[in-house]
Amino acid sequence: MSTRCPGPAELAVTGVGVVSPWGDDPETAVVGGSAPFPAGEWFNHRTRLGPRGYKYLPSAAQYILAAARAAQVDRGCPEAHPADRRGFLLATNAGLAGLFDSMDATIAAEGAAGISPASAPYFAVNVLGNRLAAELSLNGFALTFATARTAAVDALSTGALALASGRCDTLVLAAVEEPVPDGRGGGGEQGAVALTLEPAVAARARGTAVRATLRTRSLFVPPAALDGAQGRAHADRVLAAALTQVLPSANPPSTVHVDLDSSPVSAAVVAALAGIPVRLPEPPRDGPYPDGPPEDDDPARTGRLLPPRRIGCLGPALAVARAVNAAKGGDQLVVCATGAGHVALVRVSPYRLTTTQESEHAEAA
Amino acid sequence: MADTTTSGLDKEQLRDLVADVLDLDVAEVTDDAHFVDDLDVDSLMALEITVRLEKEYGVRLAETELASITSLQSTYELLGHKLRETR
Repeated sequence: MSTRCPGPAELAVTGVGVVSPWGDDPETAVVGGSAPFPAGEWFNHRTRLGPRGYKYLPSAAQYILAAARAAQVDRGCPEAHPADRRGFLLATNAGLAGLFDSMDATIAAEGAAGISPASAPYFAVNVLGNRLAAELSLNGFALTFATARTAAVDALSTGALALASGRCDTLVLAAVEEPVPDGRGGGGEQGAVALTLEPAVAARARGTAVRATLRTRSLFVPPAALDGAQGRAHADRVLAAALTQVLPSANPPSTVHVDLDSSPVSAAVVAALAGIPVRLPEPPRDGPYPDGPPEDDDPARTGRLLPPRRIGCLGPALAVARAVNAAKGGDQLVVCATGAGHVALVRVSPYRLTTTQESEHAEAA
Repeated sequence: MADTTTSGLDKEQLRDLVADVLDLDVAEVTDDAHFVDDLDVDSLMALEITVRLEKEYGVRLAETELASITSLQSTYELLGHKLRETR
């Protein structure tokens, strides 16, 4: 039994896979529009996954299978470790929202007996990842994260702890979303991202190709605490400490991708980032922000309007994938936060030997 | 000519339905192919077949009758019997 309390470990990304209606390149997927595409029009499960056996999987389950296979093609190799040492992290907020709605409609019209038996197990959101876990024999453990907006980065933070504590040797993270029916919650997102992960030290020792290294941190800033000066000052200190944990002082990030809303929590995050050049998300291709600009944004300061609140976790996950794929340049920071108080940070560093050696020393210390 | 029972049940339509439910080529669903042994049907897919049969043919299948759904031929005979009963 491990008795040490691990800090946030440096994660090595060994493979990246992206599936989106706007293409499977993170560069194009990250700036995709928000209009929902009927799943069958852009994703054919028979050509993407195989001629048989995938018909009854919800679209989101099909997307993560395709993304995980792409991550394997990208040299991610969870099978290098024993099946019971492979963990699985699923992040989704609305991946099954459409299915839930259709189940509700069926029950209302026909009763529970009208629900397709093959679809019925998916009333539980964590079942969404079962097929992927089975296909890749991810038998160590499985966790599902459903926090609005921060779920994928929250999963990375938990994964880092799981790897550092020896709970597993490798992880597959799958983040997936499907559009929310009727445009609820801003309409949602569509597609999937998969990352294969190992401890940086172990990946290097194994001689595997590392795409990038990550350091993550998730925290909670109680929104009510921001009502008073004392609470705001405390939040400032906590956020500054989190940034210090994630960012090496000698290497300020070359790019900061922020995924925020118009809440006081996000404002506190922006304040903590003061002095760091910020790259806001690209506006959706299908038009200006559909719900209008947020009331509390300050375009004079940011230079661009912040997007409306979104519930999906795909935006931050795609930003991480894009940063991993960047390969060149300095560190990138992805920051996401919601008005509910959830804040998640991840630093993405292009892989370089010196970084890993420094991290080894830091982890050994 | 379509193979039908006196109930008017069309075996080829039934074959198409079973192939669709099981995500198989129609040619694989031969009269005697065993759903479990030959077509890898598990308990969930067996239930899926049952629900689709009930919806398509407007019959109610008792739990004791589900054991008869082992091949296209046996399903055809069971459905034919049920349809004649309801007329």
